[in-house]
Amino acid sequence: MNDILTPRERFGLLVIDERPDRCNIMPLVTSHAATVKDMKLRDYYTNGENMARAQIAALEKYGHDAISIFSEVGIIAEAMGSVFEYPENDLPIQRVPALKKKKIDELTIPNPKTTARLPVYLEAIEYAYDALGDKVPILVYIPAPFTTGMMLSEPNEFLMQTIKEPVQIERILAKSLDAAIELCYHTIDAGGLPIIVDPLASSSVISPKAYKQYALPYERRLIDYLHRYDLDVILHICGETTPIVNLLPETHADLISIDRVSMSDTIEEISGKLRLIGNYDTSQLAFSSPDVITHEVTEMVRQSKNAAKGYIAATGCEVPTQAPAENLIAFVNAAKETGWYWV
Amino acid sequence: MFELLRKAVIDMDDSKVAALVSQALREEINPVDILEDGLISGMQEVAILFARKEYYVPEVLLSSEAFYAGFDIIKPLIGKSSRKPKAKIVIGVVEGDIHDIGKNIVKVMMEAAGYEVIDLGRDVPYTQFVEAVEREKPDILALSSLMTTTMTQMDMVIKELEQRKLRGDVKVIVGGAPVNHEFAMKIKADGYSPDGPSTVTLIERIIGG
Repeated sequence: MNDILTPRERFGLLVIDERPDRCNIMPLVTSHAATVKDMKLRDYYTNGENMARAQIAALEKYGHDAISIFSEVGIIAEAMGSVFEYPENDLPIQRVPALKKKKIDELTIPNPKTTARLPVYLEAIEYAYDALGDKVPILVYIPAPFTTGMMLSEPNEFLMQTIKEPVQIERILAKSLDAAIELCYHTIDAGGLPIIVDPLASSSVISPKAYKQYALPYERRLIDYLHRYDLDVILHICGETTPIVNLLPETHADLISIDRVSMSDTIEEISGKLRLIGNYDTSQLAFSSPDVITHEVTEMVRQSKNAAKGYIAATGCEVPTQAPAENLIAFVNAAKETGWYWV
Repeated sequence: MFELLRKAVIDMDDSKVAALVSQALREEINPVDILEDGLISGMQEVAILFARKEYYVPEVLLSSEAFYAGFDIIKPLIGKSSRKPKAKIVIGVVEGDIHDIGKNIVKVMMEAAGYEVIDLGRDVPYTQFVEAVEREKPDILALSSLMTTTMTQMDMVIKELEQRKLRGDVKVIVGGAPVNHEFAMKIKADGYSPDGPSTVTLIERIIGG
C-alpha cells in the first residue's frame, strides 16, 4: 500500500483518536542519522544545520514519520554549567557536573538562544521546519527535571540524596524544571514539538515511590505547561517501567513511549487512557538481520496496532549509530505493511 | 552482634556499621567472622531485596556505602592466607559511557562474594581492557554499558582479545541496561546477567566456583 497522508496529517489524526491511513512509525532515529550522511558525530551534535540535514536524509532513506532533534540527555545540564567533552565520533561525555563547582542557588536558567549547545537544537528545528515543517512532526527531546537533575550532580550522590536529603533534591528539580520550560518555549517557537524524556527516572534506577515523589510531579508540571499551547505531549522513559506503568496516566502525557515492558500487559493496563509508542528492542537493529526484524516487527505491530487510543510503531530506545541501513528499512517496511488501517 | 551489623548494612546506616565493627574488634571477635557473618551477610540480603524489586539503585548505593564503612576497617586486618580470593576479576565501563553506577553495584556484590576486583573505571577504551587482561591475567573480564550507542564497544573488546590470542585465557561477561542475553551470545561473550546479584551467580557458574 502507498501512503496517503503526510506524516504530520497521520500524527494529527492519531491524536484526535481517528485511525490514519496506517500507523505512525517513529523509531528513535537520533544520532544514528549522522551515519546516513557519513558525518562525524561531533559535526552532528555541534551544528544545527548538520543535524537537520542528516535527519532529513535519514527520513528520505528510511521513510519513517518524524524528525528527531536530540544529542543526549545532558543538554540542559550542560547549559546550566556541567562540563562536557565532544569526542570526534562519540556522543558528548560529561566530565564535571555543574554542582561540583556551584551551589544550587548559583545555578541559573539558561537562555536557549545563546547558551552552550541549546542554540544547536533551535537552529536544527528552524532548518528542519523550513524544509518540511508542514509535512513532518519535528520531535525535540527535552530531558525532564529528574534526568537533568542527575546530570547536574555526581549521579551516585544525587541518587543517595533522594533518600537522605529530599529538600536538596527538590531544589535541584525546581531549577531543572524552569530550565526545561524555557527550552520548551523556544522549541515551540522555532517549530518543534517537545517530547519529554526521563530515562533516569525509570525503575531500572529508582523505586516507584521515588518516581512518584521526584519525577512524576515535575514531568506533570512540564506537560501541563505544554498543554497551554494545545500540544499533544509524548513522554518517553527508556529502561524498565513495569512497576510504574499505572502511574503514567498521572503525568498527563498524551502519548507514552516505552522500552522494556510487555506491550500486551501495557495495552491491557493503560491503553484506554493513553496512546502507546514502542517498543522494539534496539539491540536487534544493530545485530540482527532484516528477516528476523521483519518477522518481529510484524508481530509487534499486529499485536499493538489496535490499542484502544492508538499506537505508534517505534523502538524502545535510541537506534544505535552502527545499526545497518537494511535493518532500519526492514523495520519501517514491516511496520508499514502490517500497520495499514484503511480498507 | 552479627545480626545488628547485618541489619545496619540493610538499613543503609554507615555510621552505625563503622561503630559496630569497631566495637566487635574491641571485643576481639575474629575479623573474618565480622566480615562474613555481618557485612557480607547483610549485603547478600540487600542483593535479595534488589532482585525482589524492594530495593532500587539509591538504596543499594547507600547499603554499599554502609558495607564499605565496615569493610575498609576490616580489610587491613585480614591476612591474605586466611581468606584467599576465589578468583580475579577485571571490571569496567566501555568507552563513550560514563554511567558507572551499575558497574559499582556489581563490584560491591563481587567483593562481598569474596572475589578480587580490579576496577578500570568508566569510559575505558577497548585496548585498555585487553591490556589489563594481558597484565593482570584475570579469570573474568566484566564489561558494562548503559547506552545503546556504546554497547558495540563490547564487541570490539572481544574481537581484540581474539586478535591478540587472549580470548581463551579469560571468560568475558557483559551487563548493563541495553544489553541482553541474545546480544551477549551474538558477540560471543561467555555470559550475561541483568544485575549485581545475578552476576555473582553467573560467575560461580562459569568458573565452576
